[in-house]
Amino acid sequence: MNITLSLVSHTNAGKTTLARTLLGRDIGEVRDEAHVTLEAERHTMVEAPQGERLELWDTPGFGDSVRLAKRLERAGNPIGWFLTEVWDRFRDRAFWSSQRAVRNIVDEADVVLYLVNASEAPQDAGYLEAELRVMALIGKPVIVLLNQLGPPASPQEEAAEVERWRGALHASPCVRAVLALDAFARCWVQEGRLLDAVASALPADRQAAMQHLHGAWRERGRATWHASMAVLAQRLCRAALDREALPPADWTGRLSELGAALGLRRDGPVTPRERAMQTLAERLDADIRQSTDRLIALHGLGGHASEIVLQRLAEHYAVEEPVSEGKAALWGGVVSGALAGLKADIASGGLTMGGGLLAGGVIGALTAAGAARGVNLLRGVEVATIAWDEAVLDDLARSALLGYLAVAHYGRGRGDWTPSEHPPFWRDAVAEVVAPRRAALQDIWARRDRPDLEAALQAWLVDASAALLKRLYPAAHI
Amino acid sequence: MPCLPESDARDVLLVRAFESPFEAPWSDADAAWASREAQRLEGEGALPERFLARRARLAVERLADRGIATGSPISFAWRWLAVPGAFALGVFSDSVAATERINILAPPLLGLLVWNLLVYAALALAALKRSAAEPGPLRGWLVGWARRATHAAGRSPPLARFAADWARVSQPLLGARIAVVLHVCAAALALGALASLYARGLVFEYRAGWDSTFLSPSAVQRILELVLGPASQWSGMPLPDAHELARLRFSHGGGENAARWIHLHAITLAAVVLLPRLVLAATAAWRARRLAAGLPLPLDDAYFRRLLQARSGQAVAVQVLPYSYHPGPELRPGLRAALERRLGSVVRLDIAEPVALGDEDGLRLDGIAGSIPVALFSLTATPERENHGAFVRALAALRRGLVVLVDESGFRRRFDGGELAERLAQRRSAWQRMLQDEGQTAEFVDLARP
Repeated sequence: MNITLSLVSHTNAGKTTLARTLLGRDIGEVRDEAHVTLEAERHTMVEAPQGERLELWDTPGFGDSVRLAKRLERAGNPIGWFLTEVWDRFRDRAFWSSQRAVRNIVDEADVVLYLVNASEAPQDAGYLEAELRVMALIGKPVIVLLNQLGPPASPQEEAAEVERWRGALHASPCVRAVLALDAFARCWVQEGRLLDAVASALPADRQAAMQHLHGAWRERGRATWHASMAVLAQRLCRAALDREALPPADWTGRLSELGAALGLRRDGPVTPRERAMQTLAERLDADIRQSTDRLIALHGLGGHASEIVLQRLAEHYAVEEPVSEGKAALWGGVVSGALAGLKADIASGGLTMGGGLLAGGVIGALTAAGAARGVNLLRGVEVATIAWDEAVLDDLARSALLGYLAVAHYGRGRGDWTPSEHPPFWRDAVAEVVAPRRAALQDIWARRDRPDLEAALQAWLVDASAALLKRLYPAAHI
Repeated sequence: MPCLPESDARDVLLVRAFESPFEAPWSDADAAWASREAQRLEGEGALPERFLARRARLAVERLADRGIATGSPISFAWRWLAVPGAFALGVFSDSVAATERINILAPPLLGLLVWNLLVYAALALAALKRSAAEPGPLRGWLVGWARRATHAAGRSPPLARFAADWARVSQPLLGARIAVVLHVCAAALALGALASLYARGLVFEYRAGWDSTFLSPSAVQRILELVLGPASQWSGMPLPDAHELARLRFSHGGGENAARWIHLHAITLAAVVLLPRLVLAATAAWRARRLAAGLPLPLDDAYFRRLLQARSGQAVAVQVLPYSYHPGPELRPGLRAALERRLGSVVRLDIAEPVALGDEDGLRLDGIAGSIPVALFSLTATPERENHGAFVRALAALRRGLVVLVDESGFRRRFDGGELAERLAQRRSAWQRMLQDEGQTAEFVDLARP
């Protein structure tokens, strides 16, 4: 048994864009113009293991709807008459296109998904009433989807928007539900709510099939989610274990550190310590890019993470931490400082006692912020190594969650993935979700040499991201 | 329709192109200055035409100071080359067939006569069918060519707009000037042919005769009477009878001395081609002169009405008709500011009830007569020919000088962020395309930011 959804709307509300997003593949043609889609096209959204299929029809848009509704109501057997009429495809494109949409609903639909352009106020959408009248004449259940909402909004704002439309639509008997589902920025958990609404609009004999389909759909979404968390766990694990050796401090190195400390420096990293930090940072940079690319691919999107991803990361730190201290933390809270410098000096007998002390003292004072945070200057037998500080790793975990939201909300209809501005309430939601789980995370960092580090991180991420999605979409089942 | 001298009309249109909407380097401050200055120089009671011309001259000087070169859009120097050219063509066409023999049936002469008579008939017919200002095919082609040349001259949007306006307004003038050249050329061509005959007749002896496979002497006599009869009567030079014509066959002898035939031909050409063409040229020249001295400008359009209203210190009345759009009261200051910027004057705002989608069919305008109609759309809507286009069409049919505003505030609010610029550009171009088909241009405004 197949269940069929017809995606209809006034022209250019973004049906094809939403269909691409729901299907996870590029279908049809997308252009900001009226009457771009001219033929109804069927696509399979999901197939249940029991053999049922959920099908989605992308239809041409309604055009010139007010005249259409008037004409239909004037005629005796309106819909039948409208469908037997042969409209001239080229002479009256709007009517021809409307006829195609109506035919599709009459012939195919179990449930009609009616998309509206929510960037317009309901009272400015003059076609709304007329199109609902046409659909009421057909008599199939209708679920209204609010599209073109813009960037993701907080649950309260979204609920207000839905309420506004519900108010405008309450008089239409065929409307069963109103949901926010932006083709550009929606999340898989919202699609689950859409399927819930479809199920409740179906007759009893179709419920079993719908249940199977919903199950299959949910499994698919969950699989992607878990795979994403695994990718992010790997990223965090690698960053936690990354080490970079500091070359043994020699003369010239110490001198350049002194110079750098006194403000006599060229651009770029000059001291061995700075060079080591840069190497570490470059590896992290490459890793973030790579794992973001995998996340993008997992979500059925094209495109690659770009410079902007890292820039966003840097901005994130700048916002989260006071600048000077934040930078010290980002760079790993490296301490070479007074003691290390002094000891080397004496051993090599290079610098005079006074000079060595001066250099060590200045550098030590400069890195005091890092030192105060109890950093990871890890001593091997021969050489000192530096690694990322826990504060940096905490931030990496937070930005991993933000990055996941950015990819998971990106609609396929939008084309290749490009990073966009995070809505500010995401950052708050992440902070609120991470705060009660901070101790667990600290515990993981404290024992980073344990063999199940990656598994522990993945478990933490799954728990945190589930709470995050729940917070953003309170009505969703995850 | 008020008339302005050619150069003033050009200036007025040029300034209009920079003022609706305002384009750098011209600003509303400059516009206000020009109005004030013109008012001061011309005095309170000056005729509107004089005020507009003075204002435009001042503005053009200021524009020239800012590097806007407006020179003559099309050079007309070529016309005086065409006349000697036509004369030379006449001379040449005769000497090509230079066998010192004149065919008294004279096929080239017949051709010339027939061609000119056809042209007169066509001109007479055209004059009956439409106003003389509208050019026939040849002149129409030349006018079109001159227009395209003018278009190519305007590169920036205001200059392109000016070129298009000027081409439209100056078309009758351009047509008359081209007509002068064409008539004089036709006369010169005939004169050239005759001059060649006489000049060569001085040093060679032309022999006149005829020959035909099909025509009998009596038929030839009838033809000659038709073609040269009038010339023969006026000059008193008799035409030969059939008997004499039989003798003049080249196959029966060498013909006769051609002097009388040359005279007869010359008289006929003068009567049928030279004189009428010169009279027509003079008429066209007179019309061109009159147009150059006073070119009719459609001064009742919204722009001029607004300038003149502003001059008299009145606010310009505008009636805003939102279409399937309910702009909130918070957008009113933005709307007023946008309209005052666009119209360069204080406005008296009347916002009508929004017109619902599909209601454009029975559209009526209840606003104050003479107010400027403004169609207001929201950019969040997808422009549709069947609805938005029909509304603009209906409104433009009801009243002239329609202004079309598209409010971006809702769209900007909704899509603020990384992709705004791209989406904005796409949506704007969809609106522009649709409005272009209706012969309108949209002004995109953000009413939330007055």
